[in-house]
Amino acid sequence: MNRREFIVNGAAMSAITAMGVPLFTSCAHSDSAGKPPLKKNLAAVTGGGGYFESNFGIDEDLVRKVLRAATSLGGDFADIYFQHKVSDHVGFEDGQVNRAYAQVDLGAGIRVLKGEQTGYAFTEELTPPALIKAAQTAASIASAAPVKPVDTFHSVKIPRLYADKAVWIDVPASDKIALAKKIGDKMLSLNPAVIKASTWFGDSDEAVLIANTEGVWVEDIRPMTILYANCAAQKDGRIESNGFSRSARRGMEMYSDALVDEIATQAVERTMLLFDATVPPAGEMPVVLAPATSGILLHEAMGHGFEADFNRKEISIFSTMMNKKIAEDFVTIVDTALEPEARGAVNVDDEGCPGQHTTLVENGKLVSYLHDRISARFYNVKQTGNGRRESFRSIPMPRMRVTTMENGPHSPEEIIRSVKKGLYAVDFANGEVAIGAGDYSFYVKTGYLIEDGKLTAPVKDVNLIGNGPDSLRKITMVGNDKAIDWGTWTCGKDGQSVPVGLGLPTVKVSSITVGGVNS
Amino acid sequence: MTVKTEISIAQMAQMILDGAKKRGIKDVKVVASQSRNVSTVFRKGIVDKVQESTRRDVSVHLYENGRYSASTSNDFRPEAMDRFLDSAVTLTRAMEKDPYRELTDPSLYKGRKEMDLKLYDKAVAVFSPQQRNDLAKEAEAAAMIAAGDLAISAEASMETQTASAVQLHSNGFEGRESGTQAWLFAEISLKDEGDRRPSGWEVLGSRFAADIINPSAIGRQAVDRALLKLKSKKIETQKCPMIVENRAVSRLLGGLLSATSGRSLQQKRSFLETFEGKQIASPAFSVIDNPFIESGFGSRLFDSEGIAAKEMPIIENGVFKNFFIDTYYGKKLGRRPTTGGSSNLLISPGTKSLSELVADVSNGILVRGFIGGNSNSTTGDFSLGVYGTRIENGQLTDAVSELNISGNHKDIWQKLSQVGSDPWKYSATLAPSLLFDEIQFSGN
Repeated sequence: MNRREFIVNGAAMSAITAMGVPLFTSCAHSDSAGKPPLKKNLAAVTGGGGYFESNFGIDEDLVRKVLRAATSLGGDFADIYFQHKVSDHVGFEDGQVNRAYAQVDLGAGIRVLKGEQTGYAFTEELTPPALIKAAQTAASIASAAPVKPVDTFHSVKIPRLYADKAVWIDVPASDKIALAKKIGDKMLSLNPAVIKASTWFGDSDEAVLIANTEGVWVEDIRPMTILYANCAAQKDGRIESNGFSRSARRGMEMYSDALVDEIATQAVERTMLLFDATVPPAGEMPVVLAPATSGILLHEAMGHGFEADFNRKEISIFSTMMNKKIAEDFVTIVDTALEPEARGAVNVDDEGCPGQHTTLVENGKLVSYLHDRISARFYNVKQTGNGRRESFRSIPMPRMRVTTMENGPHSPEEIIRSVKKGLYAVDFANGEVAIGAGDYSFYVKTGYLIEDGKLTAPVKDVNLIGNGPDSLRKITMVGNDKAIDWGTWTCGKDGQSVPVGLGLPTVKVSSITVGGVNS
Repeated sequence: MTVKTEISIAQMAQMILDGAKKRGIKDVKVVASQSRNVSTVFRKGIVDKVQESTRRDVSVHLYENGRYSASTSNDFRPEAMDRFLDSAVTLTRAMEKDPYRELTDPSLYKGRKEMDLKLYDKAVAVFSPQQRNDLAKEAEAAAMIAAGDLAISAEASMETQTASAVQLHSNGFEGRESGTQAWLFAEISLKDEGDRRPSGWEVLGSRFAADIINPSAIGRQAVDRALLKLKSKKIETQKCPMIVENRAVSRLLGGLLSATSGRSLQQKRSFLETFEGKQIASPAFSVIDNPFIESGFGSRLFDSEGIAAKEMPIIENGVFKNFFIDTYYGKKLGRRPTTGGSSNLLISPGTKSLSELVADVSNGILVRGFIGGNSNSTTGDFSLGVYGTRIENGQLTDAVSELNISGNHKDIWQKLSQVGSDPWKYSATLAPSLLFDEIQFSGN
């Protein structure tokens, strides 16, 4: 189906997700579910045994049989990805926490590779016959003599970036309800202009097991929480709404009193700011990107274009630029799994490759793409740990983790001072890119005009559009104030959503087209 | 491990309903669904990916004295299902009492039409791997040949889906649905000036296997779409007429529709709050929610709450008529529910083809697609990235890209002057091309 590479920040507004081509509209698998047993104190790394053995009887012997079935028709390689995920959401609206949704998702995906070709099938039933049947289906990509997989599995050394056990299983619903209510009530109390407040709290415990025909056997337990706070305020007959979100691979301890206050306060302040904001003038102008959230520039303008599947197929605008100078010396861009507890952090990717740090652009030179297994073999380089997938139902592919730019030589003050007339972009809702043409855009929820080197009038609701390689060349100043954004960013590619992170120091792009309205 | 005998989703739905009642919950809604989805992607003349998905899950919505929760699981082991129901009940009873939260009023189930919407084709359900391969292979090959020296890479996919669902409510609703879909899709990337490698796509979709014909044409049309993007330029900031091509309209329309939900109305996040019965668009614009279109991608006889489907005008000759209101927000708003979500949205077509619309524009821009951007449902402000083709003296000329359009939904639909005769068929939104006067484009 139609490819669309985009990112959405959950808090800012309901993003438009209308696809150019509708997928199957009758698919009604939605949010929701029960509270089954993620056992506590699970070992994150085990050679055989572990979470799936104790809960579902998945042992080495069974996995060996399944992988043998997967390669029975001559695939070069096969892997199996078990996943058990338990998630809960509660919502506050009109003064009450009056809705809850729970979901249990369980299954295993089996992939067989033959060169660049992929065969894939999954089962939601973890019985030996169901697993073997799925393996045989995936095997059909190949047609040759069977390849014998290794007989023994070995554990993989992986970092420990978040709690190595289920952290939400023992948190009673009443604690989650109290949290959602506290933030909602706080928003309503902060300013009499606030007429509606809603919060949306979510948590999940997830266990995955990845094993492959090369003997890799690795488990990872991945916690996650999200919190969106939104409000609507009324002033002089006008209504504005905005929100704020936080997300991390953490447990209930994340929600300190200080964070609760910050979430509510930010949601209200960002909403009140809109009453004074206007839509900026239309046209090309210098844009200064505020630290942290502006990392969306990297995600859209470069990040997707650096994903190696688009490059091995030569359909990315960056596919001829490896080892070339594509930006100023002070531009260094990285994508890392190793930011502890970040939404985009992973101890191990979904192909069993340990979490790591990948430098993409070093002092202005493109030095690496983001690789999964297929592309790493295609380019004859090491995997970078970017093989990720939405769930056991999906084929892994190169995806970003936490994408940031390293500090540069300039101070934020001198960057703003250098602009006579331009835009200072603070907060973003979503973005999208056309991989081949390189055109990307991102939607500024709030910002300020820059006039004679000073921030002046607030602005809102404006889309910026540029061309990736062109904007990279036009990064003329990079600040020394790098920060990671802890918002609820979700990246969509080829119909699969994965949690990601982003960050940036203050950056100046000498010219971007600002959507706006001229009087 | 116990041997599980395969049970139907209807049996599963009934078991869950009974299980919830046994646990003391009187008002229960259950939806059990299953789908099978198989796709093949061709690239470089060989299978690039073949993917097979068979999934089942069950959702249970529990209502008890205003307390409410919904839970979903795909773990059908009997012991897991017991635990699932126990925790769903516990979760429900932990919620605050909300006097507006009730199961659908049974009077809304009445009047369900009895007709065959023609949503299911057995030939799709039994589509063979060979058929999928042949169609995808031919489309990809045709694209590569048509693109000639300009070709970089093409992909074509053929995907079939069979889905069915059973919905039961404890207060007397029972509904069953099943449908099939088949989609052939082709995309190609072409060499262009500098490093640009624009891509174009084409799609053919139907609920019937027999409609998936002439794959070569889909491949060639993908190339035609990509050719329209070659040598594209950013142009100067200007206000000028805009045509939005049929396939792109739903993205623009989405911003308007985001303000039509009962939730956005009740939560004060709808710029349409004051527009009921008033002119939001020019008289040329009518949008109807029509659930009864034969073989439509959004067709249905009842909605997710069991409410009997009916036609509903959203905008009639430019006048805003109806919000999408479900049971919950209906009670909060003191209104009778309409339906919580759209089925097929039909923009009433006009009489002119796209080329006739183009001929009516002296200088303007034909928008062929959007890149990013968003819309604020509270205020109506929108700003969207666009690409397309310039119109000069009624003729299509250069490809344009890297532009934004901005405005407010309260204004832009008033500027709609003509509606095309060419509704886009491959979506639940049947939108023809639209011509607007004086839109703000930003570029150089």
